[in-house]
Amino acid sequence: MDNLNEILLVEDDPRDVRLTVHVIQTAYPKKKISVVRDGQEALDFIFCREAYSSRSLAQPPKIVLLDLKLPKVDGIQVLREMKARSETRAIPVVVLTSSREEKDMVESYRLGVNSYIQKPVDFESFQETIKTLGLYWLSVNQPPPEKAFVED
Amino acid sequence: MRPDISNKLLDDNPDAILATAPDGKIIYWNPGAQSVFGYSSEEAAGRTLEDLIIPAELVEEERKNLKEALNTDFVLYESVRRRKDGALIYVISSTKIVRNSKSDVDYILFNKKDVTHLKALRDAKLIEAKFRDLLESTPDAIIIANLTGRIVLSNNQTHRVFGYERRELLGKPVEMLLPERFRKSHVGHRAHFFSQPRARSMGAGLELYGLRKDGKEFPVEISLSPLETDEGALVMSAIRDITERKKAESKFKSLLESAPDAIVIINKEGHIVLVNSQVERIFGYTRDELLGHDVEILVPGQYRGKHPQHRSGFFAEPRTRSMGAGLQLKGLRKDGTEFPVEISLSPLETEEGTLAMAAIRDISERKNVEKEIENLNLGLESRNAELAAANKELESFTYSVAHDLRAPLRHIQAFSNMLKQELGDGLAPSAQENLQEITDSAHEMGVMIDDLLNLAGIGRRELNLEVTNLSTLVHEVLKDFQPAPAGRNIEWKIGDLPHIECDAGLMKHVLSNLFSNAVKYTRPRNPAIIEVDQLTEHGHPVIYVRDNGVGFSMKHADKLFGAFQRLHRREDFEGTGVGLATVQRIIQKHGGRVWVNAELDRGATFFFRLAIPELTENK
Repeated sequence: MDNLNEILLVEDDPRDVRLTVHVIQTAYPKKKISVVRDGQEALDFIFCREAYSSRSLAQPPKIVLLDLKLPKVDGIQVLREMKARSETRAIPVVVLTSSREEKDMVESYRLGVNSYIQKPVDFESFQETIKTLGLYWLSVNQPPPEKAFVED
Repeated sequence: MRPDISNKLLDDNPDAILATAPDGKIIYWNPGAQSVFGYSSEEAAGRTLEDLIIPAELVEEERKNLKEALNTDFVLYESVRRRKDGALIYVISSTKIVRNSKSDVDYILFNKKDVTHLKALRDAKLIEAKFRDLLESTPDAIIIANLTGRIVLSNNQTHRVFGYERRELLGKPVEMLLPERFRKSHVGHRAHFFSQPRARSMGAGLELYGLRKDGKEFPVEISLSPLETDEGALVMSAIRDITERKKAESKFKSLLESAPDAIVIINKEGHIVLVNSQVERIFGYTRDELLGHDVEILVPGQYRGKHPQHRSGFFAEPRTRSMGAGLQLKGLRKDGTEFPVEISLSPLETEEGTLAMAAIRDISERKNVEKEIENLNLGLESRNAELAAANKELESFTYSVAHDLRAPLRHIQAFSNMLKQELGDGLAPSAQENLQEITDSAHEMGVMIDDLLNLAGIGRRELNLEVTNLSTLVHEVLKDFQPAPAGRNIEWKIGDLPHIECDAGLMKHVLSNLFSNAVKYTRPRNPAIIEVDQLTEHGHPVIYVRDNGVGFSMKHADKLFGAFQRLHRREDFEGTGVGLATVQRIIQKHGGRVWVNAELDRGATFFFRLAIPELTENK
C-alpha cells in the first residue's frame, strides 16, 4: 500500500521549507510531503500524539528529512527518541543540515542515523542533491516492511 | 785579733742571726735577718718566731725541734719559712740553747741560711733524673716548681715556647715567665695552691698570659698538678700556648658576627653560650640578657614544652639538619611578638663537649612575599578562567553567527536561481545580468564568511606539531589543482623539499592558499610556471612559491598580508583578500615569518620559514 505520508520534512526555517518542498515537488510531484516546524511537533507526528493522534504508528513516513537546529526540541533529541523505540527505529532518517560541526555528525551516526547530508550552499547543487536523495531513498532503497515497526 | 770586729761581723753576716728569750720573744735580729725575712729589727723586736716567720703548718714541727734542742743544746735542720711578703723560702736552721752559769736557758740563738736557690738546684738534679724522659715526650711546656716557687725542671717545649735555655730558668722564680702585672698576685696564689693542693686548671675564666724572653706576651692555658716527692711538695704546670686557638676563636667569632643569619650556640643543658649581633637585632635582646639563659626564652609559649625533648634528641644524634622540617616555626621577641623563622642546626665539637649551633632566619618578609604570590596566582587563575570562559563564548558565538549568516545567503542565492529558472528565456539580458549580480554577491559574501571563520578559527586552534614531509604534503595539495582549469597550461616545478615540524593541516592551508594565488595571478601566462622549492638562510630552510604571473609593485607590499587587502582590481582577479592574512596568521603561529618579493609584470615569490628548527633535511 502506497504510504500517504511518504516524506516528513522537519525544518524550522520557512524559506528553507519553501525551497526544499519546491525542489522535491519539482523532482517528485507525486510524493506527499508533510512539514513540521520544530522538534516537539516532529515527535508528536512520529509518535502519533497531540495534534497528530489520528495518525497510526503502523503507518510511518517513508523517510524523515531532519534538520538539526530546531526550536523546542533539537534534531539530535528527535533522532535519539526515534531510534530508541522499537516501533520507530526502522524509519529511515536522513539528516539534512547546514551544520558542518563534526560533533553533530558523530552524535548522529552514534545514534544510528541512516544518512547525513550537508545542505550545499549552492542552489543548483542543492537541487542535484535532493534529486539524488529522492532517487535513492524512494526508488532504489527497499523500504522497511510493516513487521519492522512492531513493538518489542 | 781585732777587738771591734765582733759586732761588725754580726752586722755584715748575710745569714739571719737572731735570738729569742726563753719565752720565745725576739731579743736580737741582725740586718741579715732583715734581708732574709723582710722584717726590720724594730718590727721583729718582742714578736715570736711563730708569729713572724713560721708557716702555720710547720709550727708543730718547730716546737718539736725546740724540744730536741733543749735536750741536746743544738739542732740543725732544714725547713721552710715565710717572708714578710708571704713568700716561702727554704732555710737551714741551726738552733743553739745558751745557758747561764746556773744551767738555766739564758737565750736561744738561731742561725738561718736561705738555701732556697741551692735547694732548687739540688732538687732539680734529683727531679730531673726521675721525670726528664717523661716530660720531654709531652707536647706541652712543663714546668716543675717547688714550694718556694723556684723552677726545678723545665722541658724542651718550655724552652721553645718561652725562648729561654734551661740554665736561665733553673732555680729562678717561676714568676719570671709571667708578665710584670701578674707577678705579685701569683706569689699569693702559689701559697694558696700548696695549702690546698689538687689538680686543676689555673685561673679558670681568666685571660692568662705568658712572657717570652724577647718580651712578647702570648695567651696561655695552664693546668696544675701537685707532686709529692722525697724532695718535698712540688707543683707541675702544663702550659699551653693558645695563640692559635685564640686566633681561631676570634676568627670564628668574627665569622659569626658577619653571618647574615642570627646564630645561637647552646650547650647540652640548653644554655646559650654564644650569640651574634643579628640575634640581638631580630629578637630585641642584648647579648648579656641572653648568655647563660635557657634557649627556650626565644621559643613561643606553645612550643616551649616540647623543646627540651627536641634538644636532647639533637644531642643524642647530632648532625647538621634543618629544624622542624615541614612545620611552621616561630621565634619570640623580647617585646612578646612572634615571627616566622627558618632554623638549621649543626653540631659543634669543642673541648668543652658538643655544642649545638642554630642559624635562625627571620622569614617574615619571605612569608609575606609568598602570600602575595599566592594571591597573585589566585588572581591569575580566576582571570584565566574568565578568559577561557570568554573564549568559549566567543567560539560558540562565532559559529552560530556564521551559521545564521549563511542561511539568508543561501536563500538569496537559491531564490535568485529559482527566479532564473522560472523566468527562463523570457528575461531581458540586462535583467539576467542583474539577477546574476545578486547571485554572485551572495556567493562572494558566503566565501568571505568562510574565510573570516577560518582566520578566526586558526587564531584559536592549538598547533598540532609533527615532523612532516613537505614534499608529500605539496603533492597532496596539488591534487586539488589537477586537472588544470580549462584552457590553462600550468607547469609545476616541485623541488626537493625538507621535512619540517609543523601542523600538517594548517600547512596544507598555507600551501593551498599560495598555490591558489599563483594559479590565479598567472592566468594571462602561457605557460604559467609555478615553482615550489627551498633555500637555506642562516642554516634554516626557507620554502618559496614562485610564479611568473602579473606580479605587483613592492611599493604596496606592506599591505599585502592585511585582511581584505587587495592589490588588484576585483574584476581582474577575484578573491576576498583574506587568504594571505590567513597564511600569515598560520606562519606566525608557528613562530615563523612570511614575506614576498615581486615585480610588476614579472611575477611574485612568496617565502616562508618556521621558527621551529627542522629535524632532518630532505631525506
